[in-house]
Amino acid sequence: MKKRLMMAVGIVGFLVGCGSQPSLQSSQEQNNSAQQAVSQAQPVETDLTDNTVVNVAKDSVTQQNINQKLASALSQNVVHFDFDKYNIKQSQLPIVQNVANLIKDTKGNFTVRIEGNCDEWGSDEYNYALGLKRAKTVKQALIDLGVDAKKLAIISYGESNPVCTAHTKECWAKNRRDNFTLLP
Amino acid sequence: MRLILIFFSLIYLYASDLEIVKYVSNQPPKILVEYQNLPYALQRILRLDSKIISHYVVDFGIENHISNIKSEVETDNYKGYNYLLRLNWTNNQLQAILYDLHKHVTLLYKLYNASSYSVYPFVIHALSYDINNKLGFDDVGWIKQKIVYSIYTAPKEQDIFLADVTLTYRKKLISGGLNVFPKWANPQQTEIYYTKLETQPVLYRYNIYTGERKRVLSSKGMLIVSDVNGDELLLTLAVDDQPDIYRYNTINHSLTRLTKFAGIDVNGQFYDNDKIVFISDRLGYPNVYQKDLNTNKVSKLIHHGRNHIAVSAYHDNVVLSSRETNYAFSPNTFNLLLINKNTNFIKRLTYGGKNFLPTFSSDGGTILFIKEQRFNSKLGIIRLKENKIFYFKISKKMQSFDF
Repeated sequence: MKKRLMMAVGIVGFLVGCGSQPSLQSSQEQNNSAQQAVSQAQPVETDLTDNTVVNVAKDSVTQQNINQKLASALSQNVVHFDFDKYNIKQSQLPIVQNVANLIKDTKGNFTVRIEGNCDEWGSDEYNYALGLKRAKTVKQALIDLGVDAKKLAIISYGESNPVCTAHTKECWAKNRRDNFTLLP
Repeated sequence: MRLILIFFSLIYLYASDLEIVKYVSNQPPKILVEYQNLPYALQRILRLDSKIISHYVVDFGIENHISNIKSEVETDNYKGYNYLLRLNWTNNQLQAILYDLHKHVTLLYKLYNASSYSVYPFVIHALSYDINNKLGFDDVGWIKQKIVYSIYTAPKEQDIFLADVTLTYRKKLISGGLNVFPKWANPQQTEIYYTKLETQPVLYRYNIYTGERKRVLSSKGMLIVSDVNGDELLLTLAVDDQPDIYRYNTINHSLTRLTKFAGIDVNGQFYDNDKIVFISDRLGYPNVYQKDLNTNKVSKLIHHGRNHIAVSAYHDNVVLSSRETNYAFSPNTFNLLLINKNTNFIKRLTYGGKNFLPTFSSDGGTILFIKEQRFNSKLGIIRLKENKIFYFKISKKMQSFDF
């Protein structure tokens, strides 16, 4: 399994940069789509029996519990990086594997956001890009491990989200990391 | 004996001439300031401006209160001074008269209106700009400009402030959440672009006077305005999770990808009309590159050193922040280097510490940058011709700025 994981991480470098078409939405486009959504919205009448209500409520409570457990488990997994690097270290591979298992083993529709972070060294703009590359590397590794890409999103916080604010080597090492957050 | 005396007399005369020439060329003109009513805070900024501009010296003398700034000027009373500046501050209005004591002419007679007392630094900067202009020195238009900057207040919390170049005037514009990378949106400095990190990064255009905010773009992962040129923006964004440089037209909303590299491309700056400069790690470490937008050719701009993490360009001059140590577990040094790309002339502008985000003024004669310290920052102003650096401290860490 470990070998497979390493191979998967290895091909990340080749896959990085294989771009798709830009998917940006300008404010104008968003406004248009919002207007369309409003104009298309029609009142929907549904005859619900008591049982249906109970079942739906039960399901949503169950899903909520599952999500809470997943969120908690994800938050305990942190992938750390070397100074000015965005490749996954050998020592961090089991953590990536653990996150992949957690996501794959959880049913339902959800999105896990991979948050790239940096230490305080470097310009902020470069650090935002470095944080993004850290998030992207782990995202690709998770996909290679069988995680559905649609369940993953990434963001970079650069150096603006430190877990440790002392100016020590231990702190800098803690801040060079990826966190995993379950989006509502 | 007579010959020896004549010889020494000639040497003395020659030396005296030399001394006079030296005096004339090296001494900046002296301006004596007299005032009817001028709070100390305004006097302080006027002194500060003359030091930063470094073209003239203002002197408040010993007895500088006068009853009427329009009273007749007795030039014999002002020996040793080149100009006389008379000021009157009443009801948030500054009345200024600049008089040439040698030519006996009034160079400037102007009223400066302030909307409130708090904006007095901008009033004095405007006066300093006019004085410098009237005395015929190189343009210092940057001293009148407003600065926008963002500071770290807590993890995932950054505020955006408005200030003058000496950071004397400060006003919080935007707070709540992560508000980063403010950039002026127009030459009039009435609107800014900034990124807010919500579920995903969103780019807003914000009017600093009305508070009106318009959503411009949103993107996955990362979205930063690196440079503004009229209606065109250079963005670092990650459309497909990959940080690259894009050109965005705010009128027709067209988005053009300018770099396509699998690593990191950031900090794009418009350059030489048809080029951009940017930072890329395409050789395994961050360095300065340029791209010709006509031929699409990408080339390394600077061949000196490694690990350049920020760049600003003005004609043939490039200033960059260069990492000069590479320690994972001890403090690193980032210095500013000024490099002429044609002659390979290199000048070190800072010595030690962490110096980031160097930015040329519009005339290329001044560079503003951030000097980062352990728990706070300083805004640095480098006067290139005058070979001077000035620092203005803020109590928090500055994330980014624009002026």
